Amino acid sequence: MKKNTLLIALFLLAVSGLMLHYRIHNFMIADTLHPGNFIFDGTRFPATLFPLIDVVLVTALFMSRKTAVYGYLLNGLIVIYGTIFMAHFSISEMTAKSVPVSSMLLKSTLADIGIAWGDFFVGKALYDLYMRG
Amino acid sequence: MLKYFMRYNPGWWILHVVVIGLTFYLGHMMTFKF
Repeated sequence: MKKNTLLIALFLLAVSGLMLHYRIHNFMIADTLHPGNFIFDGTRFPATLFPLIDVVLVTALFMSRKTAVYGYLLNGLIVIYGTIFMAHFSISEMTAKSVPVSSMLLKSTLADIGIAWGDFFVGKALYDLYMRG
Repeated sequence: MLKYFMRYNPGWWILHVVVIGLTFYLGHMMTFKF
C-alpha cells in the first residue's frame, strides 16, 4: 500500500511539473514579426519534454519491481537536467534583468530545484521500498 | 587496460556515451533570450 502512496506522490509531482512548465515556458511562442503566428522554440521544448517523460515513462517504470531501477535512473537523470537547466535559466534571467543581490535568492529557481529534488527522493524511497520487500 | 574498461557492461558504456552526448547537445542548443 505504501508503494501506491509513493507512486501517486511521484505522479502528482511529475504532472504538476509538466503543467507548470507548459503554462510558464510554452515552447510555441508568439512571432512578433507575424502577429497571430506561433513559432517553435527549441530551448523551451525540453522544459515540456522532460516532465512529459517523467509523467509517462518514469511512472510506468516505477510500477513494476523489475523496471523500478530504470525508473530510478531516468528519474535521477531528469532531476539533474532540471537542476542544471533551471539554474542556467535563472542565472541568465538575473543577468539580463539586473536583479539586485539582495533578492537573488528568492527570485532564483532555487525553490523549483528543491521541488525537483523532492521528486527524486520520493523516487528513491519507492525504489528502496521495492528492493527491500 | 581493457580489463578495467570491461569491468562494466557494454550497456553501461553505451548509456554513458549517449547521455554525455545528449548533455553536450542540450548545452549547445540552449539559448535563453530575455
